[in-house]
Amino acid sequence: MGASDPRRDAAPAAVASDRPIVELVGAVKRYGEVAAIAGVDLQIRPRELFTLLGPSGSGKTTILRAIAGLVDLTEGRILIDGRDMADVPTFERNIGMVFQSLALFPHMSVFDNIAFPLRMRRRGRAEIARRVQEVLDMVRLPDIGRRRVHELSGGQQQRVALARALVYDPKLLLLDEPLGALDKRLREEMQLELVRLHGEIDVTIINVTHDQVEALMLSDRIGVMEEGRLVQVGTPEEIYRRPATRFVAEFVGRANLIDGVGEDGGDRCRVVTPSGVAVTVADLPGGPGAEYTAALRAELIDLRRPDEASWPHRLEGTVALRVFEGESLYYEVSVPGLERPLRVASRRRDLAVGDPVAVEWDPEEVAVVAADGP
Amino acid sequence: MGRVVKGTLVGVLALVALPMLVVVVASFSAGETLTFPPAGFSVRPYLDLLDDEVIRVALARSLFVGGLVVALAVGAGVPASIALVRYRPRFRLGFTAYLLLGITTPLIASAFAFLVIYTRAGLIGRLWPIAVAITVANLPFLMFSVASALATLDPHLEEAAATLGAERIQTFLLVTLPGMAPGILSGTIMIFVLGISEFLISLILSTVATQTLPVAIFGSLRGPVPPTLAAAAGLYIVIAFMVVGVLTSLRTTEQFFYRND
Repeated sequence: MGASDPRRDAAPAAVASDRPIVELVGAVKRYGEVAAIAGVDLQIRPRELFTLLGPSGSGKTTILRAIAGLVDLTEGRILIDGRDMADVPTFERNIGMVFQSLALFPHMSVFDNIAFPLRMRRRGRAEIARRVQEVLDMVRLPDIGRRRVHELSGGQQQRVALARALVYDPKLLLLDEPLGALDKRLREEMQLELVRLHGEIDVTIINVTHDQVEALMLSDRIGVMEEGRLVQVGTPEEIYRRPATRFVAEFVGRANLIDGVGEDGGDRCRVVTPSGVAVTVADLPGGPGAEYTAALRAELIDLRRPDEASWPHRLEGTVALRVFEGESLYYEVSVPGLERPLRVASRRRDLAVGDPVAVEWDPEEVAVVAADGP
Repeated sequence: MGRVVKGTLVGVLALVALPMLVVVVASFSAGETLTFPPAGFSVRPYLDLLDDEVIRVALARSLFVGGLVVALAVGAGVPASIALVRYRPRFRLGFTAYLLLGITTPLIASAFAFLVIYTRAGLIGRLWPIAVAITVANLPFLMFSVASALATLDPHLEEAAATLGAERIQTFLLVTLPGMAPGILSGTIMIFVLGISEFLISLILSTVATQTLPVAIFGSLRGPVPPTLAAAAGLYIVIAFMVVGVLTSLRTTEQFFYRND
């Protein structure tokens, strides 16, 4: 547990000083006609928690499996610690991996499961006993070694799988959606546990998920995948605030996407839909005249009654749906000229279905994405 | 409706129990010839069974054949099952159908084929060729059992073993094989019972010198039937009960191993 290691909340620049621990160069994996990975270049920095985020079938798990050596690339290279992995079999890569199904050995006790990688490395009995106990303490399951795997709860099994993947101190830990099967509360608990472990031990984590909340919460950096391609790599904040494509804007967070043509409207730029609805934005990256998508985040816009004057950046409509969500309320507002109602997460509770409202926003908070190519 | 269903069920259960009951009751009959219902009861048939040289030798032959069938079937069937499940899934359906064909071919036809081959090769009069023939005819039973155990095994187990540092042979011995163990065990027991009780192939391929127990029983049935034969049949029933016992407890073992919460 290197005390001198940079904490995970250190500036990314400090983490990025070393050469990449994992590097994908022009990685392609084809199954017949279908490309599961369609040309990916990616560099993972030492000690970061990197999340591959994307819908199912986007190729994120294939990338993870290729790094582990469970899938051979059709083209391109994978380097770990600068070494080409083409001829290195999985069992020599010294990588920790937690599978979606956890893949705990059902015929072994918890102790034997965790001792398995140490026995493969021909460690001595005393060392094995000591290390297994250490790692069980680390995942906070100290008294569980003699139990059978099926006697454990789902959350305990997660921790055992994690312990088994960490007991031999791999530099790289791969997580293939292991939290997917857990219920929401347990999942959040395990996510925090991961963040804690990542802070405690010297390991680089590559996490795969389709859960954008998990990705935003856990990651130092996120890579968003779409159809075998890495469409954007950045910090959670960059991904959330400055999506590179319409797909990213739609996939991450709860956004209202409004497609239109960029116009220079005096002191403010606008994206104007064919039906004439104008959305004020901070700037147009490709200049006026081009096609854009404005992404209005449901959490970053707010509702006013039409007479409560404030920003000029607003659209007027009527409340079509009001749903209580606990910490906030979820509204849908029909705006004349927009095909879909605007989705708004607001703290206001005094608006009812049918009320006329104005939807307002700070143009700085609106992400503007150049329309995807034809 | 419910009454008809219940009645049918009782009828079926009775039909299953009836032959076993007759055999067990008859096997305890006193007297020189087998009568039903017996005039008196005695354990002598079982004692006589142990004394009867022909039956004893035949039983020993059957056990030898059963053992050999198990060895051959496990040796060939387990690797074949793994190949069947793991490689070339395109051919799996065709291959399964082919194996089914092996089971559904009338035994008399396979027995005849073996008779032709063995006569040419001069193998008639030996015991092990009978075991080979029985193995060939019954191998699919073991393969289905092993293949289904393997098919339900989480394929990620082997990948996990690889990431944890296990070479392929270690993965196979420490992860795959134990995972298949319940299927191998139940398949082995099944094929052992099939081996020691197989009749038709043994009848056609055996001589006096290689009579197995079922053939010996059949031979004795032609004269006045001694109660010893019922005792021999009773022995099979005991074996059948043990097998059912083991298999049902295995079923729970399997659930124990692969319980999904």
